[in-house]
Amino acid sequence: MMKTVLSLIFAIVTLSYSSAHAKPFVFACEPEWASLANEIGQDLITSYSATTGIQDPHYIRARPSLMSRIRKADLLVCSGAGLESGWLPLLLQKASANVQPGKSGHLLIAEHVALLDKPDRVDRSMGDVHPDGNPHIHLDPNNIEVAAQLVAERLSEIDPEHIDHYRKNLESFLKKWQLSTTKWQDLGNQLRGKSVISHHKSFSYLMSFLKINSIGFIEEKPGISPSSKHLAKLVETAEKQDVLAVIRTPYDPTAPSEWLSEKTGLSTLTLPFTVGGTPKATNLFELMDETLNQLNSVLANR
Amino acid sequence: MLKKPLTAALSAAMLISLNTKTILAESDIDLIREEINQLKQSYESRISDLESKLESAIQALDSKVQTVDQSASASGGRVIRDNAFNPSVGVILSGTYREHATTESEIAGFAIGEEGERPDGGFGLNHSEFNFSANVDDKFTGSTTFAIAEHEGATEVELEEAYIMTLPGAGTPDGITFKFGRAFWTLGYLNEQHAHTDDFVDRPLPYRAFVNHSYNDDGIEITKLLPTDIYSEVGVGLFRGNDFPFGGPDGEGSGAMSAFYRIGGDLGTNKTWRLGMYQLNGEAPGGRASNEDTVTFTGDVDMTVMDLRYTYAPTGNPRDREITFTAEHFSRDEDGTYEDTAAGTGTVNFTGEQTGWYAAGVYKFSPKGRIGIRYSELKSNPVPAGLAGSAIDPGGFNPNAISVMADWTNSEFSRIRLQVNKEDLAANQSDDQVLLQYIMSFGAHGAHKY
Repeated sequence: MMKTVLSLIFAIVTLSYSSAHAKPFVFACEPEWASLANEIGQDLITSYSATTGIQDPHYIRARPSLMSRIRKADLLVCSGAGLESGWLPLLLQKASANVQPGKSGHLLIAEHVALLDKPDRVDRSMGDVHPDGNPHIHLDPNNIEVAAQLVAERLSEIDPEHIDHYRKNLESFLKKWQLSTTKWQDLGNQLRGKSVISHHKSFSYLMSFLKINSIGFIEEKPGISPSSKHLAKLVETAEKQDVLAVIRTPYDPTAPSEWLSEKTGLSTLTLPFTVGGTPKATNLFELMDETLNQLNSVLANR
Repeated sequence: MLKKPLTAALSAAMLISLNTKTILAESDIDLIREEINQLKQSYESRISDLESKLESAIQALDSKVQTVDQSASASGGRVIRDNAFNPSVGVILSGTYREHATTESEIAGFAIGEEGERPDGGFGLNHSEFNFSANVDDKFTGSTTFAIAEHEGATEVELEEAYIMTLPGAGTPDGITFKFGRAFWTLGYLNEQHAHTDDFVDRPLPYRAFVNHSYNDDGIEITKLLPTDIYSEVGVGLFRGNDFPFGGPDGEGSGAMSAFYRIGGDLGTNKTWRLGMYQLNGEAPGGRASNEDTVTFTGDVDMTVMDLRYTYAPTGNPRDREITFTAEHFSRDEDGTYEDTAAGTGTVNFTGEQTGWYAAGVYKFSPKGRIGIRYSELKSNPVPAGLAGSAIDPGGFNPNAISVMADWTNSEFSRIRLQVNKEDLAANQSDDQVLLQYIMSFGAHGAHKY
């Protein structure tokens, strides 16, 4: 028996043929990072997003297909701050050495930007809170700027041959992005100081960028479905204060926000939230355009 | 701080210039005085502007230093993601209330280990767990799990798992993982899972009959995730041979070995499947005791397991709505001797194959609610004449059980479940059961396997 096992072990070890591929492969946890990697890497890289625009990145399964994908990754780009803690650790056990924590192929953007909603006290009675702060960082254009530089940096480290290309792509992306940021700021001027109710704390960074107030959340506590008592309280809030709209992501359940809208006459908005969240949000620029268009059109139609 | 000396110097300078102009008229002096005042005011405001700018610059610098500190600590060496503590500590609290229709719980034709038996009725703390896990260093990760189990009225603490595993980057060839210690080894679908992640209160019949709830021998497993586009993984293992269905190891080398192959993938964006084939061969040279030490098997055991898992989440969000389907088939060949002291059989030669399977479907209709149904069945061939009337004589009966469950999940960390079983495990022994269970967790809570 021992002999058969040893020969089997030998067979498995020798099965490790080199899996060298020409282009760096970027495994992104969320579509926004895959999109950003494509902006910087252009046709020098291939990319894959573990979640789609209509999937909640908190809660996907560590599926077999994701294991075979992450195994080939040269660069991992994720939000971090606990957003992927339900599935990424399992995938990482099967990933290559280059994308393990601490390596240049392991990039968690949340470690490099200032996080909002950092709780003073963490207790699970507060729901599924993120102790490090809010991980949905990508809707503040300034964070994308930081992320773009990091992605370019890491791609250059992984694929030094094309360092000039990455630098050039970064420069042209940043130029375009900064111009657009000014445009979005102008477009957001009339929204400044307005108030919204959102389903989950998915839009905190967008609100902070546009200086819009979040005066309530449909989820009483993160990750926990709202109680009828909490919804009744929201109706009261909505009646007392001037609320622009009830906003949600494409993957949030629609029922509670529709109920709230029916009770209060407020309009509900399904913002794209990320690339691919709505058909129009095909890249990071379109994502922000579409988001501001939707918010502005609600304001115009009031 | 800056303001006072500057303004003093300024007014002094102004005074000097005044003294040199004593010949000027009173009105002129007034004018000049006013000018001086204006100058003084504008300087003062500029100075205070400068001061506030300096202050905000210092603040910005401070916050930058802080973020640099944070990122340095986040990327340096040991990174604990799920808990600020090292090691991560997790506790699963689980308890059951069981009501049975009959006191008999034999499984016709099968030698059953302690964990495979039907637990006592009434209240019990089955499988409350304590888990400690951490990355040991850059090359190894470790985990250990203790469980509370009730056996014949006594509360015992069992070591369920205690293993170390190589991390990618440990210097092993690409895609290869080594796991040493005691663990729920790769065998079928459920064996790897901790009981708290099960969709039903109890394990299906094949798990109770063939592996005594779960196979967690001491040993080593080497797995390789193949670099294919489709998920495909192979592995082999060597074990002590001290856990059911083996037993009484001779203390030399290994008493059992395993090999498996798994393949899986997605169908579109919302359907996932996985198929596996597993072989576990070994021996019980010193005898495997079962049925409360009345039945002993000595000899060789070969077991083949196949499993299929299929999940379908309509919107791609398994948290909202999902259908999962799991089916497994076990077959076990035993070649050796059986002795049933309760039936007074003496040692009887035995060669035989026994099989079992189950299929389970669970429908999550809302983030909080799920319902599920499971059917399991066992089958064994007639036994030699010397074993007639013993515990392993099936008497032509195929034990089967049907279970229906409904559970309510308040959050990721708490679940309450109601289950009804109809177990027909031996001729003229029909048991209708009602089971109520809670499963709660706190502390670090590891990601669940597919």
